[in-house]
Amino acid sequence: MAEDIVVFRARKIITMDPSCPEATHVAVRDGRVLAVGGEAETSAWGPVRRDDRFRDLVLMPGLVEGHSHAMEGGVWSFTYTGFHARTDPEGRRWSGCDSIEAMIQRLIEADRAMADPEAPLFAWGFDPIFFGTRRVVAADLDRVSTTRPILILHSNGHVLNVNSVILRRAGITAATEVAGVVRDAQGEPTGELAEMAAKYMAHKVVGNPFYEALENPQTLRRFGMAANRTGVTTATDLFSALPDAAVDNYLRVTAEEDFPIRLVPAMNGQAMAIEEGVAKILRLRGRSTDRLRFGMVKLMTDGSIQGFSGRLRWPGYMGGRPNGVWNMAPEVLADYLDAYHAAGVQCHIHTNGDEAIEVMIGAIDRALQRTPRLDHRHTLQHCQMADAAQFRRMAALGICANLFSNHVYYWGEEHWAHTMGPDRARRINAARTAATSGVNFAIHSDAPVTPIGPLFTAWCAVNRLTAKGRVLGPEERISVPMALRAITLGAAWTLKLDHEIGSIEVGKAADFCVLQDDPLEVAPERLKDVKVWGTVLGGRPFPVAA
Amino acid sequence: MRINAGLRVPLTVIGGFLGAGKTTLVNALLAEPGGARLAVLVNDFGAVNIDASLIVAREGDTIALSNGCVCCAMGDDLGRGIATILARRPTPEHIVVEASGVADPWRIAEIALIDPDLVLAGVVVLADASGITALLTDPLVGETARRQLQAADLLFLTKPDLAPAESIEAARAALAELAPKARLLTVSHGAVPPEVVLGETGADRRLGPSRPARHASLFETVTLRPSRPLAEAELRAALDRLPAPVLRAKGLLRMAGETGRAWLVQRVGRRTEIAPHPLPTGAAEALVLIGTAGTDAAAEAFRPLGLTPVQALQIPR
Repeated sequence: MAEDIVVFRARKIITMDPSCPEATHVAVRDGRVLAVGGEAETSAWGPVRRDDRFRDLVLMPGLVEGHSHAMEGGVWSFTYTGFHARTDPEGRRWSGCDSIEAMIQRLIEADRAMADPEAPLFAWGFDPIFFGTRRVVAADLDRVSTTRPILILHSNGHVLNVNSVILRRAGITAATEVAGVVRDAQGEPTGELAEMAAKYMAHKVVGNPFYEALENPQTLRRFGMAANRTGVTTATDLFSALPDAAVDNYLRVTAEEDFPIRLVPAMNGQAMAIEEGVAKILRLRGRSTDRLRFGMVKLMTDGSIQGFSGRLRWPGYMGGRPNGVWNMAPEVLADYLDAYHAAGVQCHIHTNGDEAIEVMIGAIDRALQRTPRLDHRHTLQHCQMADAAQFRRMAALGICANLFSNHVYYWGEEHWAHTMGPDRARRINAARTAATSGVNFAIHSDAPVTPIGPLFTAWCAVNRLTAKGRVLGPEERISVPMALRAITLGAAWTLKLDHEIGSIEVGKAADFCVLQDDPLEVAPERLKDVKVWGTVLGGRPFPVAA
Repeated sequence: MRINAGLRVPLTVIGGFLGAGKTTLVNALLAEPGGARLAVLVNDFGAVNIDASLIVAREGDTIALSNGCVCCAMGDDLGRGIATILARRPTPEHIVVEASGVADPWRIAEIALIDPDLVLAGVVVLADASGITALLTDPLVGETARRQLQAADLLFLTKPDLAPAESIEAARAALAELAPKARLLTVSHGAVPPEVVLGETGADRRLGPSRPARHASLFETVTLRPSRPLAEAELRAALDRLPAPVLRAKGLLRMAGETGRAWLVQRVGRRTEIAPHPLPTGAAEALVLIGTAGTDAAAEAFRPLGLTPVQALQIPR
């Protein structure tokens, strides 16, 4: 049956298969790669239907985002106020708010578009780090509205700015004696709220739609669109307690014919008692489908480096700032890891600071002594500050790394100047050292913390340019082929899916990323500018929506 | 008498590092809440060992007990947990939050300071008598443990039976230096009257069931009545002079030169709060002291202010 086999011809196919690195034709049957090579290989199976739509385009394996959050599809329900330009799931390019005035204007536009003058206005993505000592205050936001509550969630996800309406309703005044209520020289609250109590009170009076977005099927659909737009065919949602409602939501949306990606959620392994967590993830495994894979667990150890909440080894943060915070006592983290490890579950472990990395390498070492297990593929997520010795030990223990390469661009200057200093900043997200040490590694965006886009992430790992144009640790740059591997097979390996996705080989899923240019031919500094036509998922083309 | 007759729900935070005995204390409170309808927020049910005969219903993240208390797992968002509890009907009479082993309990306490629906009833931090001195110098978590202890109004030195006398002394010295504002108490197996953890709850102790003889030390409670309105500065000074045995003081009192409202006076450890409070109809003005042996004697110091001890009870052993 000719219709059963489709042969796509392309200008070039980058396969990531070392036995046939380049091809021009790929035959697809039943959603899988039947043959790959040239005319000869792909006609060997009998009559085919030819599809030449990619004749002038370049195919590579569908890109794999090993650390993202479906919330990337949820945040766009709110007004974007970030510093850098960013594209929403529908393809609208939002300019960056590169001044506080630009941010106010963005909010004024949003305010005008709202019918009810009392309805709350929520915004996200703002980062005061770019505006020196000038902070946003309630009076700025009162220029937008004095009738509706306005709440802006900073890009770090931990700090809020609110207007006077919220301060008033929350009863936050000069007399409010809790940490995290930022004050001006007169002691009046400025409207910037950090820490639990102040944020709790703001959300108590206006609600928390950011939280609610997680339960909305539209969030997943828009996440799929955002991923598709950047050539991604498999993406993780790397932290969810996976309540029944969320599981049902995943099952429902990933079963929709138009959903363009495979989704791999990781369960928040610490949200419940150890035995409960183990039982739950083993149970969920059985509910996996072709496009939805349960089975991974996420463990959180420390905070973030730019938030000074990551756990650092000596000499710690610059300027003698106190060390960061543990999300859980290290010995309890080790117990959780032990239990999941013994049950055969793969753990993705959030570690930013080098002390958190050290503790979790030790925990995995202990777990392996107790329950020897080959090919566990526990992965240190972010793993930003690992030094050479830690990478060597990770290699020895079979631990993978998923490096937060986008950090080099977005916060590299901050790390250089404020958090860890030039020496340690130079080797942040050390992909070259990971590679030479023999650590299997991927690179990621942590969307929505930074925008999803593996080619951009690869560009970061290849060029290591900060937002100000400094090359941060040229020795840690990797080649374009290495970076392309990290965003395909490398990431697939960390998800234990490298036998199904991540390269274009016979028997694997027919998941392709379709590009206008050849990423191996363009200048490395232009890697991020390679245009994405769309993707193919299981043999079905998904052009980027216009 | 019910001192806190307003709508604000008192909240106690129980903090302390892993293994300090928080769950034991929570279990003891749930079994014997001193007549108060508690809502207890815990990290997970796994460790809480509630007597099965007390459980009347279990629904999702909440366990309801026959004594009117509920125990809720807080999940990954404490703020949501508290909001859910506040929405329960009937509203709980007291909320107890068991902080996670690495949490800074003061950050949780601040929720009770900022939310007008809540009032902070104290931060109780537990420390394992035999382990605390080593913990304080632990390179990974020593700082976390110190932060927790510094947040305490009341410090419970736990598991004294497992610790040699010299380590108890070393622990006492370390804690006194680290948390000079806290009152320190040795507590074995969670055996401390609920009044110490919760403050005066208004339940009439004498009508309650007799308590098993397991409290290591004798606790006392003294009720004082005013013969005239008080001067705030004088009252504050007298409270600040209270000796170590007095762990808590709570009262609803009128101040000189004021009509139509009362002041809620609350002292936990060595932290005093005096805040205006609507004068509830029918509620008698009073100040109640709760502490260990010697509290009765300490009450005498209030006589010059016109506050006279009218009732002194030894909390049954």
